[in-house]
Amino acid sequence: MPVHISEMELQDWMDRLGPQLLRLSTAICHDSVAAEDVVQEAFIKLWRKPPDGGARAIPSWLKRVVTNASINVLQRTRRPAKLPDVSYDPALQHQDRVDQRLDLADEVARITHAMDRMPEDKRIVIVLRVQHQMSYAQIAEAMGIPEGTVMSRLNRARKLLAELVVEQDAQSGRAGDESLPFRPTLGQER
Amino acid sequence: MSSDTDKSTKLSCPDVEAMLSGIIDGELERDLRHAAELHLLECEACRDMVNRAEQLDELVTAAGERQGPDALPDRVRFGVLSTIEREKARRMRIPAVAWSGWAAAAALALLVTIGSLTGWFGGPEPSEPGARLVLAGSQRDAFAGVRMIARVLGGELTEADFDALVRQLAATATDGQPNIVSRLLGDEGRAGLHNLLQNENLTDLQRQVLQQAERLVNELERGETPGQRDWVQLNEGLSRFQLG
Repeated sequence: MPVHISEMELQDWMDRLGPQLLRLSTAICHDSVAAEDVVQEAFIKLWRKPPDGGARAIPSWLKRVVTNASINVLQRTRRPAKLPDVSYDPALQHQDRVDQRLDLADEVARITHAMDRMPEDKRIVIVLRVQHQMSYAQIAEAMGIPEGTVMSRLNRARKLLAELVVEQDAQSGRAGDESLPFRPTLGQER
Repeated sequence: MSSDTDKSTKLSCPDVEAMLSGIIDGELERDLRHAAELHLLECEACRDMVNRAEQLDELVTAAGERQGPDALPDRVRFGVLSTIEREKARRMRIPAVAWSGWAAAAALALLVTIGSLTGWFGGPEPSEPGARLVLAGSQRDAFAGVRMIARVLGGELTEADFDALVRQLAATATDGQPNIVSRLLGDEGRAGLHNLLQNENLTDLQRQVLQQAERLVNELERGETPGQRDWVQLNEGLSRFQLG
């Protein structure tokens, strides 16, 4: 029996998952306008042909559709790597270095900037897992990679992210590598 | 830091580091998870490594929460709904089952008859095609507002309509008006529509279409929900107007 979604239900899904899906797509393709198109198309697809499995299957189905489409957008409009730029917050360069304690907004800016400098495959796997709580199986399906590869890619991604944060901190005069979760001597691959 | 020991029962620090993501993501199989937990119990350095990775994740999560809007923008919502309305309208007008021979001819004849009676196909053809109507001021604004509403609710928005709609909705986003008619037409627009009906240059057909527009707008304002066919019909009727 074909599954059907009424407009009322669709509105409800848009309210519940729309903002989250928009963040997911924006985080992947780095283009808020394209992300809106991706999310719009995903909800239209949902109305045209909802996934088997009923309402419970819809959130992960939508995430997968949005992830795939966002990766496609990214591949079509591949941007140059941002690696050369390390001055993520000019204000930091001038602030009193005695007081290095930053509030959450600054911490988030540090992480956001470091993530922007990551290669796409590593950045996306972190976005999917950490920001959108997708399982390794869902990530594998969405990214078209073996499930066994997800953990190793995540490991490399987290390690690189930590290294980039430390590198930025060094450039901007923040002390120490106390935030580095991995041992710097292990794993040289970026 | 603990040393490498029997790998069948114990994990080394490099082992734990290699599976760090699996540990913090809860994605290890039971035996491995158990071995990792045992290692972490006795290895402070690895516990520290896990804690730092989790702190990094917290910041990544916070960064994600700050990206993008808290609500789905109107542009996306209207994009979805108008596409759906357009597809529904198309389905209403094109029978899904392709018949053949006399059955198809008979069905088509019946459909055309019913369609003419019910207005599926936009009502009667214009008796005075090409009649040009010159509008100005509030009458022109009212016509544009009604046309936009009919396009939205009749499911025939173009990209340009979309942009115009988003601009209009954005401009009226904080006036507390509850529905699309209030926001796209407003009191002035409704008065303009009424004035437009008094325009002496209207043909009978044009007047009929505008009367239908006023009726549908009033129904909507009263909280009633005219059917989509009415809006499709109105949209088609309005599309035949030639404005000078």
